[in-house]
Amino acid sequence: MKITRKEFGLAVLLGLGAMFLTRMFGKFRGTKSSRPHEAARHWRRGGQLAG
Amino acid sequence: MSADNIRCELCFRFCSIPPGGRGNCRVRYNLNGELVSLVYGKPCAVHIDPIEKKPMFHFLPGTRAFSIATAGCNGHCQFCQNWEISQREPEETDNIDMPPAAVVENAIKSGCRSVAYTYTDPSIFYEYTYDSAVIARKKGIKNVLVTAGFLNEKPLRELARYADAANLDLKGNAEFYNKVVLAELKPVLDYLRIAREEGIFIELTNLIVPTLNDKKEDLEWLIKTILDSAGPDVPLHFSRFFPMYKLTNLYPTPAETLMDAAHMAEDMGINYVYVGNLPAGEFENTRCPKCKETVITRRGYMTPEIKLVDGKCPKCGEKIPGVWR
Ligand code: SF4
Repeated sequence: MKITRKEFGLAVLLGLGAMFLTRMFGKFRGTKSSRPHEAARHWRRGGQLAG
Repeated sequence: MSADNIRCELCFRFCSIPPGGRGNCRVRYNLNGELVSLVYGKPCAVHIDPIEKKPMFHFLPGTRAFSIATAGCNGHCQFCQNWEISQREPEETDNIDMPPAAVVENAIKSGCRSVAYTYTDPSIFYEYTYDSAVIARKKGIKNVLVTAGFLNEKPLRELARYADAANLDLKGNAEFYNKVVLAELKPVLDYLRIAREEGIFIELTNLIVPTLNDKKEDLEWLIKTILDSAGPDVPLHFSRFFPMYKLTNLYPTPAETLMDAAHMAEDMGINYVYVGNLPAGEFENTRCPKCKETVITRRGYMTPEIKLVDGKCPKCGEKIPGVWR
């Protein structure tokens, strides 16, 4: 099967859209065990800090 | 000390700070003759962590702790696992505005039972910790200090009125403190004594760093010191080191070293011994020292089973020390 450029572009857009929606509204934002508080979401090291 | 210098009396360093200068911790500043905190209400790390990550195993198990830290530290462990924030000026970290009232409000909103002052030493953001702790207490949220224990007696006794528990690092002997932590042992032992006198529930952590504090005699000294100063019932966590900061030349602590240390502590009489940063089987669980029943089962930071009844072993009724509700 040959994928056209249009189909490929659409698939990428759909993928990005899904990622965006999960991040914004999904149940699994961050990890369950340790997640940054949303006020500090820009802090990306997550639960890597010790303590 | 010159007349214009200010002496900070928060921790054992008693820095004499010249006008426009900062203390050893990088966050306390002499502003025209007034000592100010550069990090009040400006945490650089805000996380919702399981309380088990602190690690606190005898304190509201299975609950979450609203965990905050600011930049800077008064310790300079060459192995610091959080050096990207602890060995930094507040200008170098990504900080957000979160005054004490917002800390407590956010803790409540996110379903946390406690606020943990952690990641860097809370003594350097003392005023922020204190004010948050006062509000938290009023709202029924508990306060946990995760600390290297460098705070001086007077501020510690004042803070103790609002602190419910602390995880205190006992990193090694005096030589280790001088050479590797670039600090002193005595303030830490004083902290342990004072915190216990004030009724703060204490758990201890020792990070075992290969070649530096992992020898049999180092561990024997550590365990004896704990038994002498806090007795057999203080929970003790041996934690695994990963190569960080200035000690990237070392290897992670071998599992065997940690397990041997845990067995040694048990054999020498410590009742609650744990191994952290490593799947450690029986040393992740809390067992009743009397009948050996597993009363809390843990897998990593999760607590699939808590069998305690009113803080007592369900099988033999032995009281397990801790803050259980
Ligand atoms: S808290 Fe900071 S400024 Fe104050 S004595 Fe300790 S290191 Fe120095």
